[in-house]
Amino acid sequence: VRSLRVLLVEDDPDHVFLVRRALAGLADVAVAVEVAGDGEQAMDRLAGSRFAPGGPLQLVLLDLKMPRMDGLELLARIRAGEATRDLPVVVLTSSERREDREEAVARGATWFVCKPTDGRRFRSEVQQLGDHWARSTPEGLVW
Amino acid sequence: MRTNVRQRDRRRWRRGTAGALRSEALVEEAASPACVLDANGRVIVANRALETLLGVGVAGGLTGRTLPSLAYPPDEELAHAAVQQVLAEGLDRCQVEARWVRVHSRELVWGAWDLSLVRDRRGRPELAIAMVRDLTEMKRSDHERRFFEFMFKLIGEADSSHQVLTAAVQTICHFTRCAMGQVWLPAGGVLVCSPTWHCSGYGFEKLHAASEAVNYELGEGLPGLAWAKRQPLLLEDIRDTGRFDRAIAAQRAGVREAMAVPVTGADGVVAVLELFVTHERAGEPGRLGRIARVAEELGPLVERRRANEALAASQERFQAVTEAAVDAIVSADSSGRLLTWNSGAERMFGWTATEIVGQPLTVIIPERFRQLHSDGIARVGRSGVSKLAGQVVELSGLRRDGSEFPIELSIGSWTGPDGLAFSGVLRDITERKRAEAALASANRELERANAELETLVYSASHDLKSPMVSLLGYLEYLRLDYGEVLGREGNRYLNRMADSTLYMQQLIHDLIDLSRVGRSGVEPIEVDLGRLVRAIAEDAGAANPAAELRVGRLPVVTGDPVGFRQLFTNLLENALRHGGRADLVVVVDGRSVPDGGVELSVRDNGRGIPREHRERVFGVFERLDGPSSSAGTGMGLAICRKIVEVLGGGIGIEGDRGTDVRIVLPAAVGARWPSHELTAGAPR
Repeated sequence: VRSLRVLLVEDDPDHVFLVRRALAGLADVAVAVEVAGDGEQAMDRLAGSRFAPGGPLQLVLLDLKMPRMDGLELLARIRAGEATRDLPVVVLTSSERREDREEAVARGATWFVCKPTDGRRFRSEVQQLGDHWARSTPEGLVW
Repeated sequence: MRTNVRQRDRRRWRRGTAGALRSEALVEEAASPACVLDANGRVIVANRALETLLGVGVAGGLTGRTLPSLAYPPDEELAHAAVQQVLAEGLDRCQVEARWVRVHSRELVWGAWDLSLVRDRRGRPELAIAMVRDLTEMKRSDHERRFFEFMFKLIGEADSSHQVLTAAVQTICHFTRCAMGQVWLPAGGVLVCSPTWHCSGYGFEKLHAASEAVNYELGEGLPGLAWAKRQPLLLEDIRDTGRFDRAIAAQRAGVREAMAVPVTGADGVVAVLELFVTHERAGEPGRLGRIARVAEELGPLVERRRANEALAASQERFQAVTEAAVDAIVSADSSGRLLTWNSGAERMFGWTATEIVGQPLTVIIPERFRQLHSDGIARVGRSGVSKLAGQVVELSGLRRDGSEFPIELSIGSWTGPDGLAFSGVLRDITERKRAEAALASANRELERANAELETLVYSASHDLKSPMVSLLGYLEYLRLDYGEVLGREGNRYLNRMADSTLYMQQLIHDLIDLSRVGRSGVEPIEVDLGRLVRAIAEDAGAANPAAELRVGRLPVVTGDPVGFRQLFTNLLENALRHGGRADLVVVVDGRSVPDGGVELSVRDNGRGIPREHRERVFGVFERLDGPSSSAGTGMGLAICRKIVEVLGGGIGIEGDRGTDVRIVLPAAVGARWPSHELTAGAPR
């Protein structure tokens, strides 16, 4: 069983709960979730993550709609930061539109999963993510 | 018997005196007309010249005639008096100028008779010698001169071409002893008899009425013939019915001769004069020629009058139009001085015409534009070309009280007698400007309100999404964790909740789509509608295997590809969802329309939409079959309409069998048509 350290950037506690629960149910992967309530908190966590006691963060799950600093801005900052440039960022989106998803990728997101609107679908998407992670090399995620 | 008596008298006279013999010789040898009268005033002998003058064919034909019997009846008294003075009263010499009638031809001749008394030995009047001077030519030319003088005097007083012709007819009748004259005018390819006419005598009314009742084409009737031939014509006897169609009316008026004389100007025949002569006056030689000479003079006069009339009429019209106009209509010469100023201009600027005509145009131009104006005038003066001529420009005008107001000016230029001149029509557009500004501000306000509303809808929908996600997530886990506890009924409730929540989520998505149309800011690109619709049809066809989707000829257009995808997806889904039959046939194709745009059609053979609902279905949340999750949210067509309207087009529903959604896109989408059909299928 592999372990994965994930930073969940999400301001809605209900969503935090639902995402946590979905991640907890993954087979083959043990996911440790840290939660940041907004973009600034997320930047703080990321800045200190390299020396964090549990090891560096390996994946960011990012909600696009947040107070203060929105998801896309945070994404831009992650991509601009020296240490965080190559960090995989998976965007959580509630949009069904392919164009919105493609736009997130174009702006630097590594991938996207739909928000847990449809429990089964969300779980299957997160499972795909976990599977992918499980197959990837120890150096990091390759997409 | 008479002749015998005369011969006897003559013989007796011959025998009588030596004076008589001398006189006879003198008369017979004289080159000029002469005769000898006896004491009773009878001709004893007349020479050949006199016989010729008075139109007597045979020699001695005048013998025994008295002077009064030879005179034109009105002049009889004159002749009688002259002879009396000489032979009865013993005056030595007497001269009489009178008109005489030629014996056979009945023509008039003018003659001056110089009578000299010859006395017998006892001093009593014995004979008179008459030397005659033929004044006919002189009198005739004098007559003609007076004729012309009189006519030109009348014409000089005439104001119109009509009056000129009337005066001419009157004069001609008077001087050539025509009984009646009338004027025919060419109008619309035919000759029409003018209502004014002239006659001396009675009984011509019916002839004129008959003339007014007919029109002659070129070459038809006497006037029409003169019109066609462009030469004067004489009909010597109107009883010749084959040649004169108004013969009955003319005969009743006692007419014998008819004449038609064209009046010709530079542009052809301007009128035809028709003149009638009665029996008594008929057959006067040279009459037609004299009238023709008058008519020749008349042509240019009539034409000049006509030109003046046309000019006056156009000036009058111009005056009437400009004075009635609300707009200011002004004109100026090439140096910018005002030439005319209508009442509209008086009202608009506060200057009266008398105050401002002759002033420079700058009077009505605000100070800051005057230099520009002067430069423009100078430039036009140099180049002879006005940039503004024929255009409409918006400027500021200056009122007398110094206030400015916006005007719309259109300028025309023409070359007048004093060089280039300008006319301007000025319209006070204060009200229009105000209305435009009010409209623009209202529009801005409306746009702002709309934008605000859309933003509100957009953000509200997004805010609604978040709790929706939570709701669905918890529902899912509720089912997973406690489904067994809730039992069958509890699970049914859960399912109903989930369905409703999903429907609510779909509504929110559609609302977002609707508010997003037209605000994406995506650069328009070329979209191959044929390829796009085929791809959509493939997806839709996979979900509805019994349905048949045909894609016909569709253009390549420029626009937002996302919008077009949504448009056709919605339309195809609508057709399949509401068609009411599994084996539905849907056809998508298009054609170009005359203004360069395109008309697209998505039509099916389904149950169709009743005419009264065809507008309603484009509303937001409108569904004809009531709410149910399978029927969609009712926003599909609202989104379609918005997509099409953002492109500047229109959408509507046609068709009597099935539904035919027609989309008209403007030329701005730059439709290009594929050169050949790429797909099989039946385009209409």
